[in-house]
Amino acid sequence: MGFLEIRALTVRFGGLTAVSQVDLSVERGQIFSIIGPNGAGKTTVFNAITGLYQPTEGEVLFRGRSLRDPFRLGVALAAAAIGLCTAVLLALLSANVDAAWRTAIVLNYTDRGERFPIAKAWRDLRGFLWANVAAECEWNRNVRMEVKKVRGKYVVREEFRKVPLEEYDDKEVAQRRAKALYAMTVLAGSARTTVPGDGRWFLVTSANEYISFHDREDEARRQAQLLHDLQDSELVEEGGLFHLRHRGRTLATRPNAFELEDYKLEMEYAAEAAVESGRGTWLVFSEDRKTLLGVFDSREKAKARLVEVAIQSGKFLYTLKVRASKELLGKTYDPEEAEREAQKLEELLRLGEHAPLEERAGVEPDALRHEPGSSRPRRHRLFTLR
Amino acid sequence: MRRIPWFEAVGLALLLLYPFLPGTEFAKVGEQIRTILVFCILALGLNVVVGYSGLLQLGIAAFFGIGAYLTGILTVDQFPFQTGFWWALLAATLGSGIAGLVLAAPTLRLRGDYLAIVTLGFGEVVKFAIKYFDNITNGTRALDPLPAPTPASLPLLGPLQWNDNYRAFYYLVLGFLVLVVLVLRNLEKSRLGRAWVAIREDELAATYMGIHAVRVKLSAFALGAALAGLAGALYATSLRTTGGPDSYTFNRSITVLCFLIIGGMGNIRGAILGTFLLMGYDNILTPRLDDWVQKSGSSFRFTDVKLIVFGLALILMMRFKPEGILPSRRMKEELHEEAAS
Repeated sequence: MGFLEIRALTVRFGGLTAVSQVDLSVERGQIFSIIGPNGAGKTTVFNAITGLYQPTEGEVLFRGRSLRDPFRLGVALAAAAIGLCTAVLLALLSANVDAAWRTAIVLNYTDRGERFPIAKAWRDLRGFLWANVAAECEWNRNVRMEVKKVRGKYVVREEFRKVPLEEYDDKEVAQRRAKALYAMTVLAGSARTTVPGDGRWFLVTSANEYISFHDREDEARRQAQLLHDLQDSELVEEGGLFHLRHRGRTLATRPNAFELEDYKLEMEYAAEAAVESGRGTWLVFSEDRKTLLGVFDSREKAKARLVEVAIQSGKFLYTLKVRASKELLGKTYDPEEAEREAQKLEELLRLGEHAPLEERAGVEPDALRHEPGSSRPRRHRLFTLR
Repeated sequence: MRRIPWFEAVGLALLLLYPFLPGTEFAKVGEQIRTILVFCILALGLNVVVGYSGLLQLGIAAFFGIGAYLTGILTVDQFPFQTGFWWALLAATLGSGIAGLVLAAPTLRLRGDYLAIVTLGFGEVVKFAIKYFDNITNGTRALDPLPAPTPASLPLLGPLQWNDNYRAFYYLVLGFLVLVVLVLRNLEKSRLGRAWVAIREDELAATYMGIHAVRVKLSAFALGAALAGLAGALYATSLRTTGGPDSYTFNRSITVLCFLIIGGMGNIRGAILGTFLLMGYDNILTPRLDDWVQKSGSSFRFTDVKLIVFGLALILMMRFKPEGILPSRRMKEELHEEAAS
């Protein structure tokens, strides 16, 4: 068997037979010449060997293998290996090298004198990478709901994390709610909707952060969808106005681009607002009183939140609403009096009179700390006052 | 007959004797010469890729940056590695070389302009990576301070003071430059060096003569990248900072390419001469000219017209001496043959 072997090679171009039944064998290292007159088919043989022409009959064997079927198992495995490597590389890239570095090195390294905990760093890095790969799967499992009977009640809870959300006496109602909640979470992307005890619909992020509350379920769903859409909406100018569009649907319209950007930021901040949960008496609202920014059990916390929001976005003004509290702006009242004061204050706020300036100035700097749940760096923008 | 290398001997003697000049003004210039020496290594690295093998590489600053940042990451107090200068130098050189291999392996199938575009893109990617991998590179704030090599790690230069005196680093960089020049001189005449030139002249013909084109091109790319990494490591350590992403822009790649074009492509002496001419003009001559002009009351600044002068020099070179000031013999013959025909 030669290094290059040609058996019964025939090449036809239509009716013309250029080469007919050529056999030859070339050894490795051999210098082999083909001679012949013009039109004898030397070049055709050469082109058939290099693969430029497809032989009509016969075969060309190189190292004992036909070159006509180059897709072998080895090639397939190589292709698969390249694909796998690319996928791993992409996974590493999407895991964000910078954040991985922070997790493994920056957070573990304390000082020159201290020994660097290599084992812990390695554990952290593995955890980080795994968390990134797992996050997607976990999210899918997280949003699925299940109904479980606990002490005579039917509890709607997350299938994976087992976080109880609601409980009902009737099994069918619970199952319907579980379905609705699942649909809603899928619909809202990162925003989940739950109903705390007081019968209103709160919009919460996946980290249990409040976004807004609504009286009706469909309103909450609309808001959730809006927040979801806003995240990948684009800014369009049309007819002198600026619109935020998501797949052709207009989400918001403002006379200029800055206001629209601010609105988008506002909504994103709202989506990030980390608020202590519970039936707080102190609520922080956005200027248009539609977005609930926080529910607090103390005035100080509410005020801190307020200033934080004001710093984050200059346009974001605030309202303090007090509901059925004995304590109002630092003074103690009896319940009815408090209610009256609260109403008076509310009236005042509605008329556009905001809390006085010194209230904000009095807040200690450490109260302005950014909530740990949010990853967005705090913006230092001066806020304007009316 | 063996030629006495007057050019090299005189140049090396001058460089060796320079630091003995006293005074602060000479010390300032000495620091600039130290930087120029670092860039000579960078230019020699690019010379291997562009000059010898004829692969247009427009992203040499990326490898320069990788070298600098690897050194930074491995030595600064901020991170736990703190390997010291010598290990970092080794890691920077090898790391850049490997980065060069990784970039070149899939892209060397491309030729000419397309390869240039890929390297250009790689340069931008590295620049932005440096800018936005804030936790690793400190972003625009740069990694600093890089510790100087400890005296114990270099007994020969031990008594010299690294921090306040430029001389120790000057001699260290000069030593590396001489080493690189010696290696490249030998490589030039070796089988690999001749293979590079053969590939540059005619890739198809070279392949038919039994040269493994891909392997040869890969080695050129990797060696060029490794030398750039070495230069980056020396640059960062001598400045005590990695300098931020703006030190590793496309501009820098092009400037280094200009050194080669002016000095003479494919020639070690040419690359060094080009670097000294252009960087000497830029870093040493213009500030002094500016001072002088300002003393006479004019507001004209030579720094402002720096790029015009560079561009003019390039145009004039291309018109009258396209092979550069000190071309390699082969380049010269090639270009003049073309001009004649």
